[in-house]
Amino acid sequence: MTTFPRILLVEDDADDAFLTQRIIRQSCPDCQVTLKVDGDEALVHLHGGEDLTAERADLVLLDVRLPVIDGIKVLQTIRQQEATAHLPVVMLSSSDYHRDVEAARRAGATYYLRKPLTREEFSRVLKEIAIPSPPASNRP
Amino acid sequence: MFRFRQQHSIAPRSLKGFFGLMIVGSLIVALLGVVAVIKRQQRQDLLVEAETKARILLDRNLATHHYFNQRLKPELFRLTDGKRPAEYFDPVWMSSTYAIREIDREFQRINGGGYYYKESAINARTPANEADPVEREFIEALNRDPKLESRSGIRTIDGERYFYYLRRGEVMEEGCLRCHSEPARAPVGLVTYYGGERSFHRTMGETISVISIRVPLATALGNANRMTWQLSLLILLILVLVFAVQYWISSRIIMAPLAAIRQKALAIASNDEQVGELIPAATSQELDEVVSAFNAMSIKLRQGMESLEERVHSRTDELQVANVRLTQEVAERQAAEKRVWQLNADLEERVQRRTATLGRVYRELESFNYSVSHDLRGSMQRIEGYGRAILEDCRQDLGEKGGHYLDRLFFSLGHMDRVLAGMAALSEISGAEIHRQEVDLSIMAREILGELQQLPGERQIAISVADGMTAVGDRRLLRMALAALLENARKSVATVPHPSITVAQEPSDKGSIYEVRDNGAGFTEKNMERLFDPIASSASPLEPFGGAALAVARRIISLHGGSITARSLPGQETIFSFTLGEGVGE
Repeated sequence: MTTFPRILLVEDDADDAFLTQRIIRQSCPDCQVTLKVDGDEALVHLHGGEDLTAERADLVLLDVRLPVIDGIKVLQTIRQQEATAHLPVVMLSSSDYHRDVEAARRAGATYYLRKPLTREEFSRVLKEIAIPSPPASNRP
Repeated sequence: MFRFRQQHSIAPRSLKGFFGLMIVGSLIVALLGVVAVIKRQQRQDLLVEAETKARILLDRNLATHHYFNQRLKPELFRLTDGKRPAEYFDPVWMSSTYAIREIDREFQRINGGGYYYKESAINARTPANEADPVEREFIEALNRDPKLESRSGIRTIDGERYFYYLRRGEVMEEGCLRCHSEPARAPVGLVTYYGGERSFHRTMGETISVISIRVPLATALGNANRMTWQLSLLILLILVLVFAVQYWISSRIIMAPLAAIRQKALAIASNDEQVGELIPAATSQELDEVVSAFNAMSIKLRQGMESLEERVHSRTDELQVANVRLTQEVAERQAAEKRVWQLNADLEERVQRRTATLGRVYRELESFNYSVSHDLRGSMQRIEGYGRAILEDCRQDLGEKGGHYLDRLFFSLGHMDRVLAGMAALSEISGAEIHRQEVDLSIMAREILGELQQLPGERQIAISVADGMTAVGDRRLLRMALAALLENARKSVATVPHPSITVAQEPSDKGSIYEVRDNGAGFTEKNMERLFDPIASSASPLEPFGGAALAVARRIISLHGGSITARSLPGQETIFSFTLGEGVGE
């Protein structure tokens, strides 16, 4: 991982996006954050468009409820592609319904966190993905 | 049970044949018996007659001996004394034995009847008188047994049968020895005539001869056999006549009436119309009694048949009525069953519709609940997020009052979030299926408490979890319930100086009782009423527990067929006790 990890935030709600970006900046001021508002844009960002260019990301923060393609399907697509299968993905949700947590786990999520994201939680995530270690709490 | 034909181990015999066989057999036995008796008697008579003839012959010859020795020889000796030379011997008048032998020879020539008379001796003076083997043996027996005098029986010689009689003959006396001891002592003429070898060297008392008589039996036996055959034939004829007469009599008196009974019985057996008919009386008393009994039976059969027919008609009528009624009842029952089936089908359909409707309503409600909960919580989380942003980024501008207002805002948001979370959880678990398995509650409790201890700002709590606590239930739901109780306990001990949480199990006769105990602030009597209310709120931040989480725990325990109670000593101890049943609760 690079010193300044690149973070892809996929969130359709502007307020949730602002609050999440605020926490990211507080926890990791040097992190590069890219915001996409739907799953399609996120996948293009990760895998490239017609010109086959693709931006890299070191961490994906993915909202569960997205328009066009919901977050679980985006996660499945990320895991199916060889280039992105290894990416750590944090699912963000307003609820911790068991079925949502279970769906995220089966789809291959690395973490499942409830909104709003807190500084302590995000710092722990950054710390854990910086080195190979066993999963922390809230990981499905 | 009625038996209409006697079962026989062997085929029944004809009575006529049996009687005939019995009579013939009896007659044959009688015939043979009579013939045997007659034949035996004839044989005995034959032997008696033969013995009589033998005795006559013997006595006649003894008389001849007597005459010779007592009359003739003395007279002739007297007449010839002085005129005979010393060596003179002439057996013609001097030997009675010689005379008898010659007389017998003449007798054989004249009569030719096969009679035999001989004075036999061993080493007889005359070879013609030499004893045969039977006579020799008898002579030797006589000399062994002085008491033995005679012997008789039947001999077969050259194919002819004879009655023989043997009797002791000449016994040597003193006078006899002159001619039978040493040849030198015998008269010269005797020795010259007979020689010096034969009939000498006899001893005193020795029996030297036996009188042997044989009477021929051929003629007598032939006559007896002929008589036997004639007699047998006669008896046979008589018996045949008797048999015929008897047979004729038995046929008329016994067989004919029996045949009549048999024919009538067959007729009755083959044609019901003949039941009740009678047989004419028999001539004999015994058969007449049988006929009377048969006629009585026939009449009784007729009466029985008529009575039976009448009862059959009556029962048939009753059965027809009952059959009609039964048919009606069956039809009514089938109609009722059809109605019941139709009702069941309608009920089933309605239940299915209601179930489908309930399921749809539930799913819609659950979906609505999920959406509302998610959306509400999303909005609340944003409110909280901006609140925190205001608190962190604008603290200097807020002042103390603004900070307090935000604290109250966060408190209310937290309560709303817990309520919504509880309602969502309640909604989720209400439709959950219970997957029962054995669960180690000790390990589960330690895991949950370990996770809680790792939360930011968490104090060290003295934890005690009993070993070996197990339960049967849904692992995920039990974890939710236990997590709710332990989270509640953790919050309860947040302000006490020496916090402790204990998880234990108490066995009872109704199953295990599990306990979560803490030494926190406890709850008051007022809060007790709303402890498990999912939307209850606490007035004080010091009592942040209760409500949705406990409602979820109670719901899960109830789904497992168990129950939960709580008791508290405020400021000292709070105990939540629950049981888990084996069935599925409401």
